Amino acid sequence: MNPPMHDKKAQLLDFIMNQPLHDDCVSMDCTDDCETISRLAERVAAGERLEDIAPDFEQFVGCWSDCREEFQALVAILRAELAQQSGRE
Amino acid sequence: MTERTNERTNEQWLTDLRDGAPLQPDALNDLRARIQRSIYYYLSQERSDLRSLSPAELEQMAEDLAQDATLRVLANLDHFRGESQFTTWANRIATRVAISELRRARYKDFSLDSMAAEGELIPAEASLISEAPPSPERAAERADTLSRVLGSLESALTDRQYKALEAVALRGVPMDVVADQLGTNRNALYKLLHDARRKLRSSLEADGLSVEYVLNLFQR
Repeated sequence: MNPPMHDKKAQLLDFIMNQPLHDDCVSMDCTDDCETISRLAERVAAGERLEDIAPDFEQFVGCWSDCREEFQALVAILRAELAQQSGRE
Repeated sequence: MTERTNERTNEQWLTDLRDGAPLQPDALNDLRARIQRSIYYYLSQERSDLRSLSPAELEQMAEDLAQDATLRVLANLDHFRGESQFTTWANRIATRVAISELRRARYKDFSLDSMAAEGELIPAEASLISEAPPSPERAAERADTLSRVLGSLESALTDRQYKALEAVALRGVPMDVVADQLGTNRNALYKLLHDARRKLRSSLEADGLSVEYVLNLFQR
């Protein structure tokens, strides 16, 4: 993927032309009952790399800031829980 | 009353949270407390924009959000399929509730209709930052191509798609906010924008503008 450009025209063109069209990711249910994303977050929190286990989804969250923000927040919370559990053991 | 002394399994969470279950009060309290801890962690550790708030204020926010999130978890219990830990799934719901609320608060004065009334999608003076001016020929080619892209936006897209694309792609308005104003949900909005992009690409390619050509033309 080309590197992002930095003005309004570039933003628009980047959004239309440059970002991937992943039908599978768009079809992924982002509503409350999406467990695929939950399962991916668990694996990433446990140390796996998203680009290794779900490269399409990794690219998807790279393009959609809302989804990325939520995914990263969930991973952060899960890591904190794991760290707390490790501290107790 | 029998108590759970160990971490609940997915099945135990589902059983204990059901209406009328003997352990429901404890399960609800445990769920709410867990969600509240998660949300508090997120607000206090992951949100630099909330640094000015005191721990007490963040606790109150977390408590309020946890209440909403807990209700959302209960409303969706039948949708949980056990593909992840129940607590992860619940945390995901909690995260979305918290982040969505923060987004809505930030964009409370935003209006899609007002945005549309502001005029040009792309101001004529918009230019690349710190870019050396292109040659006159390249500048003319860019202007022509941009004009054709903007033309496609207006002819190929519905009004709904156009507004959504401008808000999300150009103004960085969060999807939740745009979805609310369009009276839809975020997943439907993803699909709407996905379809809009497909339609635009097809329209531009039919007009002789390939993806490669356009990107190369506007690269630095």
